[in-house]
Amino acid sequence: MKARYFYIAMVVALMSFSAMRYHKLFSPPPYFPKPQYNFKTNPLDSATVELGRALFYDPVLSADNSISCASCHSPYNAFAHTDHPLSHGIADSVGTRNAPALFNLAWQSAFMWDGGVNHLDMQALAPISHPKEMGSSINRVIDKLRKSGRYKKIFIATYGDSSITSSKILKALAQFQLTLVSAGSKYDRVRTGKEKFTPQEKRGYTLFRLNCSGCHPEPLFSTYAFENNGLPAAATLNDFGRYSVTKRESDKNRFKVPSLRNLSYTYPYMHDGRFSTLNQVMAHYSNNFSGNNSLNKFITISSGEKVDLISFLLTLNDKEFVFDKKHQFTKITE
Amino acid sequence: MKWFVFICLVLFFAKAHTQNFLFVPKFNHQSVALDTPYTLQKDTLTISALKFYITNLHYLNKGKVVYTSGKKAHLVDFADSKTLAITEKGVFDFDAVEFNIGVDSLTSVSGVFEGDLDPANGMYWAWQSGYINFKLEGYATNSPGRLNKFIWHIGGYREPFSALRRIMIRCKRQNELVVNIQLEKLFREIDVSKDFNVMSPGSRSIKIADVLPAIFSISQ
Repeated sequence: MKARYFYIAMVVALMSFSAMRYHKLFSPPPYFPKPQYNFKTNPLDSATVELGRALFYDPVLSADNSISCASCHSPYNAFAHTDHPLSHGIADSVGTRNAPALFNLAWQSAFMWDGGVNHLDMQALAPISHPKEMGSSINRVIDKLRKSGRYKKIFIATYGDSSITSSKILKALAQFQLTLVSAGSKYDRVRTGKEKFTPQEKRGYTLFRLNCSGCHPEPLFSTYAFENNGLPAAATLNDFGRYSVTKRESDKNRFKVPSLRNLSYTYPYMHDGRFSTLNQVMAHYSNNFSGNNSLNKFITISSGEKVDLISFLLTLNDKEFVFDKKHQFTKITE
Repeated sequence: MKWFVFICLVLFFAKAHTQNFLFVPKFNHQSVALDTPYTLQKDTLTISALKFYITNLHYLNKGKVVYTSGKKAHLVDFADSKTLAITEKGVFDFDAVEFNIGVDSLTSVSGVFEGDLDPANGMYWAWQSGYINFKLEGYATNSPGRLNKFIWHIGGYREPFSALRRIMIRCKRQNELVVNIQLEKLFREIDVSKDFNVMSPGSRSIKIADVLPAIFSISQ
């Protein structure tokens, strides 16, 4: 009987230990919703996250060893590509979309501006294979990694054997990206009672809740659904967003709603980076948008209110996340 | 002699204890080899690649499932002879087989897998996630494609363009079931001079997917 209690105690201890481990690598605040990502199929593990980090910063993923994930998703830009309306890949090829910021990915179930990728594990296959991004293929990446003594050691350390497969590569990349949780902004500190909004931020918060929170609800500041915000399709790009995936007329010009966190780090804005300042974005929503769209009204606010709204939006900047050394490049020792 | 009889018996029982499901591509009644020209009506056709997924293979008896294949997804690749048969260990009575041509939607949205479903097998779309259920590539004199090439990558799991097809074929119990893939039926139904490049989910993919169940038959 005693032995039985001992075993139960052991199991409970083990379970709480594994829960602690989970929390160490992925610890969203309690007011975040339940993640979409199924961690059971890819349980987080420190060594795997580190392998994912090494791969994320390694240009070995591209055809000519020139472009890494971080080339277009820099940690200092909340993993977006500041200053480039459209991102550029191998041989200075310019793509058709603005590189989205990478954070709070565990709460998303469709990736890319059109949601064409249906699982975080599979996402990396897209940039790896795109001729204007990394111009490679998962098979070429596997071949290159197999020839690398450094990766052989890392794979043995991580998985206990040296076999290098697409599943291991993709799951490791997903694990690193799952740890990119942005929840350390002033907004979050206000939410947890550690700080207070200024009167201007408070006014902005009220305006935000009135005008923006339908598509950008707290605390993630996005529904991650696909909406048409009234931007006319850019003539040279012929990008109709969600339509290319579903072929539904009603999905024309719908793009994934981005989060409003970290806006100061992620300019320019919109799927094609057509706006470089938040003032331009405000102008679009208050008077400029056209045609069919999912917004049911213009945002009618005065120029003073725009300043208030922007001051609230700036409280969503997460400096702690952007400068977190855990997410930055690290040289893996041989 | 004694030993010979013994070995023969062992071989006989060993064989009797496995159930083989073997795929053979054909043009009319002729077996097809890769990279070899065949004449079909007024067209000359050469197949350079034929790969497809067979999933959720069930053996049925009087309408009830009597055996579920241990391998959930099997990738048949005619360039790799090891993949042409699905082998089960065990003996069971059956009067029909049932299987999917392609990968179901749940598997398609469940992330990365190893083995036959590994995205490195060239049967996965990176920019519009999902498996290619059926891949047929080759050359047809009637194809307006470059060098007369035609490329059919049939797949997609989202409605209304779900390309997965499940079929049931009645058959007599045999240790080795030979499944013919009658490619001529595809070329009779699909005009290669019009649909020579099909590489994404959509209505053209569905048009070809709708023909697929009819090209599988069991010879007895």
